[in-house]
Amino acid sequence: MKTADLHLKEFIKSYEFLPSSLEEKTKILKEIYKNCDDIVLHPFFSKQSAYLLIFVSGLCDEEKIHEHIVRPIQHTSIVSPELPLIISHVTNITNTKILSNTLEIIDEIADGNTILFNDIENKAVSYRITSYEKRSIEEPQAESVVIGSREGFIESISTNLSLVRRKIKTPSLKMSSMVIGTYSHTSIYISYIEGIASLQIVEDVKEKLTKLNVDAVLSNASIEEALEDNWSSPFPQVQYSERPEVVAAALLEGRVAIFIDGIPFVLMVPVTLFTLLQTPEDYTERFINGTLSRWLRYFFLMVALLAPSAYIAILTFHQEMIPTTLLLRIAQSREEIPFPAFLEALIMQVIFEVLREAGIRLPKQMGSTVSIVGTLVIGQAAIQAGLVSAPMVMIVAITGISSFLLPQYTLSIVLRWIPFPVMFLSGMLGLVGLMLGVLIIASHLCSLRSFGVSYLAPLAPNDSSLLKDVLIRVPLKFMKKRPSIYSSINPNRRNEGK
Amino acid sequence: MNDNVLTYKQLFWLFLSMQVIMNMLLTPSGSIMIAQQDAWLSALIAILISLVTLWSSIKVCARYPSMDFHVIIETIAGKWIGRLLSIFLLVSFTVVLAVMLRQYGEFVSGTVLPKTPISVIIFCILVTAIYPTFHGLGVIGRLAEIFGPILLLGIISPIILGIVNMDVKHLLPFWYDSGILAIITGSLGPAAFLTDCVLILWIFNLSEFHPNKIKYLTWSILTSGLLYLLSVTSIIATFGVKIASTHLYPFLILERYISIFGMIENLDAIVITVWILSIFLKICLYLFVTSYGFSMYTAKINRQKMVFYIAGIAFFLSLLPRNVVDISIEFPQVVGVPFILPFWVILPLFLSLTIFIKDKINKTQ
Repeated sequence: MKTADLHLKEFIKSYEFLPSSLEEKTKILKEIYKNCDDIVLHPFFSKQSAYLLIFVSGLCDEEKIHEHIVRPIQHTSIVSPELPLIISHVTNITNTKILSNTLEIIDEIADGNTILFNDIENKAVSYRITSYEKRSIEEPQAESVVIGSREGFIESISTNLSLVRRKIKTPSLKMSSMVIGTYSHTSIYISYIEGIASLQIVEDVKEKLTKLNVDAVLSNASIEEALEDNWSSPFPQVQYSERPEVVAAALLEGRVAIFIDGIPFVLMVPVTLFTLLQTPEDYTERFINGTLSRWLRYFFLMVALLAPSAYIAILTFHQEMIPTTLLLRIAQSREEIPFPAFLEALIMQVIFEVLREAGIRLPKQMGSTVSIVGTLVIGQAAIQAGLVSAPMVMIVAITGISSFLLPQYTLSIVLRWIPFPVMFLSGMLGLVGLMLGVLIIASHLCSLRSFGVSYLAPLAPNDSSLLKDVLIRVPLKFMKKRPSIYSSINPNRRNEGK
Repeated sequence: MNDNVLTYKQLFWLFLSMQVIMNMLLTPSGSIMIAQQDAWLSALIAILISLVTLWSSIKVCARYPSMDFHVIIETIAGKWIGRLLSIFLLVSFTVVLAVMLRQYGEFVSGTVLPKTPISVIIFCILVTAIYPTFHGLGVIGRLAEIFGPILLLGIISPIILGIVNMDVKHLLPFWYDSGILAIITGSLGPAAFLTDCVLILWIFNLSEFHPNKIKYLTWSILTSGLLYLLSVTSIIATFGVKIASTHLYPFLILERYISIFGMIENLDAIVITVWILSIFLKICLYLFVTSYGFSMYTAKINRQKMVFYIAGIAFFLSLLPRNVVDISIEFPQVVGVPFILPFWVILPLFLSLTIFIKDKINKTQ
């Protein structure tokens, strides 16, 4: 297969520019698109000369091709078949491009553009009349809010770009395009606001993506990995959103957004832990509610991380800390349990993970089966059989629920397994072990950087002026400055003159 | 990736949080035994000694702001003497690191994990400390910045909650007949802990230049000294001299007296856990400075590799003492106070005086 592929490449290379004769052009194009039956080659004639149209069926609006290209040319009184003349006087499509390089022409065809050749020039016109099947704009699934916009990104990149362009209308909003993937030729747009975003970060993003060498960009993972500074870290270093207003807000903070064709999410860098813990609703609600729900999220982040470990540590090593009456209760419920607390927690956590995973994989109609099995087998039977104690079930349930509180899915799946090693340490060394676990995680977070921005900024390195949007959510009228951690070019959010 | 830059705020939190706990835990009983209820005067003297050390160290570094210490000391004291002194300093840090590890092991095993072998306890924290140290001083600084405030809360809240148990009468009579000599002798223990601000010699040029830097550094040593003063005073006020001087960790006992709503009691495990933060940062900083320093003298081993070597040596050294008496009583009396403390105080003083005289001579010429 490789030889055939190489052969095609060499063939294209040998015809860097197509000949002017239509007959030869047709022959070459037929050779290039051998066995590609979805490519339409349509020769037609005006009164004086011959033309050739080429497009991918299904990517173009064939009715429009006929209406605006073929028919006008056939009926024109203009004699000369020169392409600029055709564009300006005959056909009535506005988005056009004149191409000469064969590779460019092939790319344009793959993008869903319609290419017109004449009999006298070695050039071609590309008409942009793409129209392909796409989903309509729907409410975001993974990032829903009660109050706020109901628009979500879809798989079509042009729609996604327009959704953001509609929010930020200034020409300073730059969208620079790039094609990645040897085979997929996926188009990618790097978007930023000139005069706000740090140019160094923009250049850095471009450089990292240019270096990326993959066959195809079918998922966001290859792009995400290219953007990460530390590939071995479990923590996400890219933020995803399917909400245009979140992306717009990020751009206004001086961050860079990356649009990928075919993926209904937009990637944003640089990222800090605290941006991953914010939800769009923090800013649509009143500031007190926003602050309280933010605190709730921080608290339950800690619970998701530490609750089972703390329970194990205290139960195994520091029973004296528990008030006597409570201790007696727990002791009573654990009387018949054959396992040490660590093993008990491990079993429960693993079962919980299994249920969670099964819930995602099962078809929707079967979902209730999982919940019934989960409730009956785990909730009832395990306790009655004396395998697991009731307090442990509670702890594991609370832990599981807490991890769902986090807005970024990529972060909450990290919290699925990070507690396990900490649990092990607590089972070995009690609260000391727990603390060591916390210290390792904290050290790791402190060592992470995303495009030069510390992962824990603005907590460490401390920037007290930015903590007002981290520890609390101050009313918007007090947020006059952009976060200086991303860029310091244009620090004021307000127009100075007004 | 080397990430060795500190901000001045990180410098403040780092020095404050690494000094405060070890000092509070280990030195009050000795100090109280010698100086009786005037131990708080000893604390004041210890603060004074540490401030002198800090200021002379800063003077030395600020004179050559962009140089590493091993270059500075060779410029001032000549190649061979300078090299010798600097290696002595690094060796003293390594020894103190080992002692610290052992003291941590004894403390944890004596309070919360009686059945776990000390070597395991030491090994676990050492491995944990290698991670941030390997990544660089910046990571340690950020850790200090995050945990510093939590640590402060963990120190002040037991004192505030324990106020009901205190009685000022225990502090009287003022100027007991132990005499000025006893007060000074009593100050040597805490001074040995507070003067480890001499570590700044090695990391001053790694922190960002800022006009507030020296002010923040002074405040961090001062705060840590004042917290020590507060703890000694509250220990005496709670127990009186007799009981306080017989406990190994009187500050921990102070905290055991706390009861919230009559329901939340025996908080020592949590408090100890918070205190571990401080000891952890101290271990990290010592490990960083020793590995950074020694790597300057070896061409083959870079700083990051050196971390593992130093950690191995310190682990080995920490297992040598036979018991808690060796490490907490013998070592300070035989090595700590007579050798390491004077070396730490006199070295920066000597260097800054030399600079002062040299500059004077240069000016007159």
